[in-house]
Amino acid sequence: MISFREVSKRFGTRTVLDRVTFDVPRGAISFVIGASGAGKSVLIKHVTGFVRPDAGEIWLDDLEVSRLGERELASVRKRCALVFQHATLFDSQSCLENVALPLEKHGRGRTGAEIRARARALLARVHMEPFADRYPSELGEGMKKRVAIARALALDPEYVLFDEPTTGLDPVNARRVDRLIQTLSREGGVTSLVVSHDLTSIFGIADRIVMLYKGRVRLIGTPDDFRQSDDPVVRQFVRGEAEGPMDA
Amino acid sequence: MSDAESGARDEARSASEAPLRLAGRLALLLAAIGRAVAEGELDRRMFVKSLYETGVRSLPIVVLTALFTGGIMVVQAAPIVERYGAHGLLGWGAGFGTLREIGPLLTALMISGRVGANNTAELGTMVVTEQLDALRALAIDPVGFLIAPRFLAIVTTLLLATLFADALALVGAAYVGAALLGVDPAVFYTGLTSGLLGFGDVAHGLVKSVVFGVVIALSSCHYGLATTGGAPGVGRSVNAAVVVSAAGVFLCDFFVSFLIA
Amino acid sequence: MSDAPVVEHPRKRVLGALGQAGIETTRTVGSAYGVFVRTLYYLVRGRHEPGAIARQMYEIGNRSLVFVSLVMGFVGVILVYQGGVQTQRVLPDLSQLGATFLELLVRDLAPSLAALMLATRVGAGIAAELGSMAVTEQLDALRLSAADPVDYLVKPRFVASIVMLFVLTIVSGTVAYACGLVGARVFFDLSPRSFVDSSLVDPVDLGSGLVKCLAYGAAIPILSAHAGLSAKGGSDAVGAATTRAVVHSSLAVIALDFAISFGAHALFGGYSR
Ligand SMILES: Nc1ncnc2c1ncn2[C@@H]1O[C@H](COP(=O)(O)OP(=O)(O)O)[C@@H](O)[C@H]1O
Ligand SMILES: [Mg+2]
Repeated sequence: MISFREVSKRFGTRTVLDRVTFDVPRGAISFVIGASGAGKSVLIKHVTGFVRPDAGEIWLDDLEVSRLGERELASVRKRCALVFQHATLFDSQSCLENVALPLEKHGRGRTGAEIRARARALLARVHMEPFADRYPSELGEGMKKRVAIARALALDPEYVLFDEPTTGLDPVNARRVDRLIQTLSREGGVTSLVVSHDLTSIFGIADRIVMLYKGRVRLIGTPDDFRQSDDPVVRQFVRGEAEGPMDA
Repeated sequence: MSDAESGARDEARSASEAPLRLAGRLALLLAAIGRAVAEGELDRRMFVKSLYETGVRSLPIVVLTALFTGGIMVVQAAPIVERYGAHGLLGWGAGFGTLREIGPLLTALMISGRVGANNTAELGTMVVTEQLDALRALAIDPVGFLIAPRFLAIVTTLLLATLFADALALVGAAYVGAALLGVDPAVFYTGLTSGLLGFGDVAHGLVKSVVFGVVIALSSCHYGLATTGGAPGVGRSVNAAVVVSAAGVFLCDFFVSFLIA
Repeated sequence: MSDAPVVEHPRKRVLGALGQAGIETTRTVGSAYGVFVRTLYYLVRGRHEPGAIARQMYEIGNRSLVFVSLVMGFVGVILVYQGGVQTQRVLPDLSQLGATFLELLVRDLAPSLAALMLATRVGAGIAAELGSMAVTEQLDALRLSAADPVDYLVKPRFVASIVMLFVLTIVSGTVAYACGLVGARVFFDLSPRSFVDSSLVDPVDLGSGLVKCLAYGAAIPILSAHAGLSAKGGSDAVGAATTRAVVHSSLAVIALDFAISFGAHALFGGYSR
């Protein structure tokens, strides 16, 4: 379980997170939703220690992540993968090399051939195997994103944090990513925390949804709770309406 | 325009970052590299790759610089040697300046501009596109995987390049001496090896080149890692890195000259 | 990482790198020459903007003055020390040390070292600034309003760089000489009176020093601006332009140094004593 307890974060004078508290239960697919700039990326980066809270605690099972140093965080990061909002592939390496890198560095495979076979299998899961030998600069943003997902899955993480995994993908590939996330948690027991404002994904695969608004948790609940909410902010967001109480 | 100007101001601020604080940061980086190497975190394959790339990148510029340096040294030594009518001393006159000072200094400045700047640009780009965080997210230590290999590659390359540039500069000097002053290259080489210059002079230059390599590698890695603010930020980092490298090289030249005298 | 060949055959890469460098040099010199010619054209026909030139003189000169003078001070001490130690191996006395040092400073070291530092400090700055403007399409905006970036951006830097390199050379050369004088006193117990001696400085030395200042001062802003203006692409483009600027301007300084020194000695060598 991932727990945020009273987490606050400011950049300069701007308060991005204000006493955010919620849990991410094991095995489920949880979504964090909110407008652009609401602090969703900042929030999930707290889990793997890329951002430190100004106040509050973040727990991963029985580890208080927010207290760990960079070295201890390495073991957290093997268990909890992060897929960045923008594909962060290494420019100087092919797709296959990108995916093989964590396998190699953490000894997941005895021989080079074994590692390459595993890397290919991971690429196949995101339908990118035919592009194994391409370099990132030769691929579109959506393809790079899928390779980045394959790379994040390389170490068989228990938790996966996805930052806007379907943004920039065409609808067909977006649904494929949704299905991949579903398969991971239904069959692999992986716990997923997904940042998104893709309404189709949200209402398609979410078990639980947390909505952030102005740095605070606005509503936590199931997709049905969100559909039926009479909070005008929530209603405006889930219906994708231009007019309403949300700031531009 | 105003963007670029405020950018230039930021750059100046970061370049003139309090020298002590900067020295402290560089020392911490050096310690982190040392620790990564001592703990076997150094990625050997990345080291070989970096070494190869730095080498290939430096070669043309080192060759050009060395040949010009040899020529300049002879032209500058010529009047002094002619004044005393001692053509046999031309090799010595051009030689000691090249080996002890100009060879290591110019090679370092050129490699700082070519390899150091390039290193800052690459690391800076990786930082602003979050590739460095992506490494950490995969539980891979960026120091062992990226920084230490590049650091060692730059230091090694500069040492080898200086040795090579010394030799090439002296050969160049011999032929410029022949063309300009009519001094037979054989006489030039005799002047070099007649006992006035020894291995000590070569070693003096090589020790310096290692120190210069450390300075260039550290500042280029530091400014690359400290990059913020997109593409203009990368430009500012490169700018700051080359300025600090050049100042550091000259300062260290001063202190090392006396320390190992 | 697969064991598929990431790199070509080493020998091919090395020769390729040298050949590539040759081709690139020719091409760069060619298109940088175009920028040079346009700069000269706008000097005569372009806008008159003393304000921009003054601002660039401040950027280029005042900002570099402390940096260059500091470095040259250290260089002065080292050179006197190294030269003195070596001279003692062949000559009984050091009475000519100060005179020789002054001669070397005037005809070569002061302009060349100041220019090498300017190439780093200012060359990188110009390329980073113009490169950022190029990738953020500010240059295209300028062109759309029918203004040639060479007139607006390169010309003021060109004029400022030439003027300020003269100033920098004189100031930092003086600092180097003063520091050398202190060094000679400390290391070799030479009195300032015997160190200060301009008997070896002749018009050829002065002339080649001045020609060098002019040549370096012109080459650095042109090559750096050229590198910045031709930046294309994303965040790596500005970094690459900055790198190119430093390398091209430093190489230009070294090559011009050789050419001018060689020329002066070949033409007037007999005159210089
Ligand atoms: N490292 C940082 N320094 C300063 N401000 C930041 C930093 N990271 C994020 N922010 C600011 O925090 C706010 C939330 O950003 P983010 O979490 O990326 O939003 P989103 O919900 O779109 O993912 C934004 O206003 C952003 O500018
Ligand atoms: Mg975000």
